[in-house]
Amino acid sequence: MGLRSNPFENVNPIKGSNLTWAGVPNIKATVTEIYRESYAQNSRKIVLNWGPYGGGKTHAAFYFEKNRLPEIPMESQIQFYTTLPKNGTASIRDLVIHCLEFLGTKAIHKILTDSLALNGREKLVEAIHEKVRNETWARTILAFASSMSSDLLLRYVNDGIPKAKLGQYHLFKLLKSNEDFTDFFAAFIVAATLNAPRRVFLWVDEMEDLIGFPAKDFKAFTQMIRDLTDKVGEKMTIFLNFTLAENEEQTLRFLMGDALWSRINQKIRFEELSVEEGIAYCSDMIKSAQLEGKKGRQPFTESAIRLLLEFLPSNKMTPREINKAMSQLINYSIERKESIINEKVVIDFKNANLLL
Amino acid sequence: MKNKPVVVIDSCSYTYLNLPLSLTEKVNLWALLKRNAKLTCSPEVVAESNRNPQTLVKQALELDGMRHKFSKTSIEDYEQHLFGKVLNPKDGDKGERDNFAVSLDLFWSGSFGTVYLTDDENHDILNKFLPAFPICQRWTSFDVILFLYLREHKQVFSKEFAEGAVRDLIAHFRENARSSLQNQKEKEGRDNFWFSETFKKAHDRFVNLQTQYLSRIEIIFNYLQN
Repeated sequence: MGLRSNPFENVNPIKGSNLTWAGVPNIKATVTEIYRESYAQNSRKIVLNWGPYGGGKTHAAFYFEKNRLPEIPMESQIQFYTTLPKNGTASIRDLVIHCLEFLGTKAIHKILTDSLALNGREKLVEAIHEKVRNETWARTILAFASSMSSDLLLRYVNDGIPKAKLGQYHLFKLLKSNEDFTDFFAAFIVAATLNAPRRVFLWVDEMEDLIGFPAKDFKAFTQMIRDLTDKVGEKMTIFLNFTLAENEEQTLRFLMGDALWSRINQKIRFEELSVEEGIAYCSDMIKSAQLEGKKGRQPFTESAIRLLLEFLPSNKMTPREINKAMSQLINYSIERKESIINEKVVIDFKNANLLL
Repeated sequence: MKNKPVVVIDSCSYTYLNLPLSLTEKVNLWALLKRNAKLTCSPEVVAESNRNPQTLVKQALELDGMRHKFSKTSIEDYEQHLFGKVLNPKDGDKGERDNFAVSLDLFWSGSFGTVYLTDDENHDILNKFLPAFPICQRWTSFDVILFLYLREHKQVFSKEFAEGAVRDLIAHFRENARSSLQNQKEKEGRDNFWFSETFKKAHDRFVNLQTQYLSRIEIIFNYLQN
């Protein structure tokens, strides 16, 4: 068929894989612009990505993890990705741990030692103290920045250092409360970006699971996002991915609560695609998997793609559902030993009730 | 409150209303409802609660004290006339049916402010009998929250607590739905795809429910402000 592999095979995006950005160029441009703005304006921003299931929000998070701004060195783009922790009571602690583990011990250690070398001990402590309003965490970050042991910070946040041994590492107290974790994370981000060209991008996926949090945990978590952005104050962008089947912004306000809703600076709607957008999406996906020398949309004809997409109901015109349909069509064509997928193949495919 | 509504409660709603509120330890919905309504239930609801091993002695006694005393005719007579037979506890929805008989008995006794409280969505009473007999309002535990917010907003049940109570109940229902689907998945050997698609539908229902009730609280809030 002239394809290296089935480009539509992975219905759900896989973290860490080389993902293709297909179709919806406006969304890619908008997110890229937000990344650029962070460097140009030192901005602090909360962006809400919202839309239907399978609309591409997680894909965007994974894509931008691998494909950041080409003009900015990778080490100056600190990116965290986490899903909303499922245990509401421990959600703040879990989010901070997930983020730091996502970055990894070496990167954390390098970021902090760089910051110490750039700013010096007193400036670093002063700056964190001033922003986070807590000297304990400022000195704790300094202890990690001065430590020779690269995994100390992760051991610390994971309760790996007994209270009796804190002094040995120049640490003062263990992280206990939600406020401790929020302030500690804010202190880390302040240290990472202080006088450096670094910017922080935090993606929190599956925010719709907030509905599973009892009110107390909901309040604490949304307050944490607010406090984190307020305390860090600059050079940080938080992307909140929120799946919502319906197209009502008002619903989002109720689900997220006024406290967090009022802090959203920008909303990006990941909508169902039109047929034309679907064709552009499929074309990009096909091109990413075509063998050298293949042209256009081979092995598909454009009219075949159009026909298949026209068969899909409008609420199924999401990348995930298109992937499913196109992948099934490719498998069907392989079984039938078709080398070209044209309208006739699509009609046979539909008549065989394979378009689920 | 001079005239209090008479609320006929079922055992599930009794359990939900007794859940602690995560934003305050001072009150729960049950305590507030007791203050603002006359509560009653059918003998079968008392028996159901007694059969439930999680019911505390205190709760069993409390419900027993609320047991309705039929005045027009006997429960068996109501059952025979309404449902064509005398029910026995093995009939799954005897509690809901007998509570409807309580509502009807209250109507014949001259009570016109009766509330039939149930969180169960699919049973004959809701679909068939309540539409046929317009003698009482149907509430869920979420409607209790709205009622209590309206009644108690100046005392202990602020907008924040009312919204919090909605979030608490939704979180509880969602977790129940998740674990019941998980059990069904294991019992019937269903795959992860089935689980996630089915749970997605339940999640969307809870999104709608939460949005509906939070927006209703906002309507009441705006009314109280003006």
